[in-house]
Amino acid sequence: MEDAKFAIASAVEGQKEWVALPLYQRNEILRHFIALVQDHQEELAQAITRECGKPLAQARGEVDSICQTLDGYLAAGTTLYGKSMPVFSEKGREHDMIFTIYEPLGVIVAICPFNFPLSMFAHKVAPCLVAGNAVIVKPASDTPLSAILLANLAHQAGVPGKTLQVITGSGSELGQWLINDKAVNGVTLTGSTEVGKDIMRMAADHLQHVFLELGGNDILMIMDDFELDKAIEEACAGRLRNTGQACNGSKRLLVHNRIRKEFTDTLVARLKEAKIGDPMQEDVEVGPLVSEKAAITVEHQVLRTIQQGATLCYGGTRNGAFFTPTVLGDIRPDMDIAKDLEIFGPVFAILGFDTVEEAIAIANQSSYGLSGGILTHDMKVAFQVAKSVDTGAMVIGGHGSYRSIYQPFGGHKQSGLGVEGISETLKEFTKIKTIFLRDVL
Amino acid sequence: MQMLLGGKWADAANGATMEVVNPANGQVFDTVRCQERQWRMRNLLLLLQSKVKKNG
Repeated sequence: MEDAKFAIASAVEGQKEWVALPLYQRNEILRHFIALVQDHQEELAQAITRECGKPLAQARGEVDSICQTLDGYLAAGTTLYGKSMPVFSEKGREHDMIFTIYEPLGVIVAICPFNFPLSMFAHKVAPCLVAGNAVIVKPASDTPLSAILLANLAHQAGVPGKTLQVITGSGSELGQWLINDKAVNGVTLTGSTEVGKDIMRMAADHLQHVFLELGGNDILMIMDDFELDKAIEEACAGRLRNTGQACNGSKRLLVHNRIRKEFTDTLVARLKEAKIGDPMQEDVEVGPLVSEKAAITVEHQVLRTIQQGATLCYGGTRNGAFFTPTVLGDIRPDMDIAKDLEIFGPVFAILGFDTVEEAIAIANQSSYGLSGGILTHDMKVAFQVAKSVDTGAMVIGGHGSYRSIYQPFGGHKQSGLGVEGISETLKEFTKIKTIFLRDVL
Repeated sequence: MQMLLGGKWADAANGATMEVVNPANGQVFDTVRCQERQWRMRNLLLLLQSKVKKNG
């Protein structure tokens, strides 16, 4: 608690210090930060892999993406234009000039997840800093090291130590102390829906701004006109990314009944070839989950699904934190996994369907609505599905575990509140102010 | 593990610590894991401390 109080008091000072610098100077510092990240790319990637178990090639990709994210927010910051209202227009306001400016929110608490520890750090910290805020980062308990390394590079680049801080510890305790303070003006979380709701309740007391990126149980829908080999690769890419620990992973595979058996058999054969092992090795496709505890949870969820009537087609075994890629067939729409049971591991759940309408209904029966994908060459069907599935994004021609740093990334329904991405987020970390010049016209 | 608070490296006020486990080897080689983790944590800490900016 003392640490949280100290961090908040420091952040209040750090925000004043930061915003006293004009944007171009802040941007010079952040450009230096990007250069330092590029110099330390391998070290940061290895830190991610060591603490989170992410295969090294993917960790390198994550570090590369944060440079682009930072760079994009720098550019966006230079065009954060306010608006000038129509002049000589409104009865009684004919002689006024009215315009808006954006101001920083103040102090932001950024709670980052274990699965993309640096990518989410960048998506939260970059817009906060560009908009002139101070940030207190709370990394996930399993993955604090990479965030500390990254923050340290920011400090070396010249971001004041009180402007960007990293506090570690249990999320449930620290979160409470960090949010129950009126000096904190906003909270941004990537995490579970349950935690997101708790944060929103806590934030109500001081009316803090809340941005939530939460869970998902996304579909990848595969029609019978699509090439089987490509469909298998899309399914694997969508589900095995970060060993199945992605909020927008392809967790429910909706496969047309005409090709379901062939798809399942081919998928099993493909997964038998997947290289599982030490994530520091270059060619490993499937690493461990973030912890043994996480793997045990997946094991229980798979058992529960089998008890509800699913067929174990492949996998289902655990060794420490490693969980074998697993294929569950004969999933019925009434099972938990077909609705809201989100499995954070390499588990392929296959549901059959006969009509497009039936598939859309299954997709939409989940409380979640983050992303999704549709594989077909029939563009009419593709658009129908993309339009009808209630999610924040839909990918036509690929899996839905796909993101652009520019898009407004965010979930519908229970998957989130607010959006994250260079096209949108800067405004979310600012407050708008209107200034009147009375009787000047 | 130290935090970055108020521009300085900081221990938790209550002295609590937490372990960072490499999930890839966390369970398989128990004794190696301990040694390796101690080695890694010490080196990482030295690495981090060598980078503290004076005016942080």
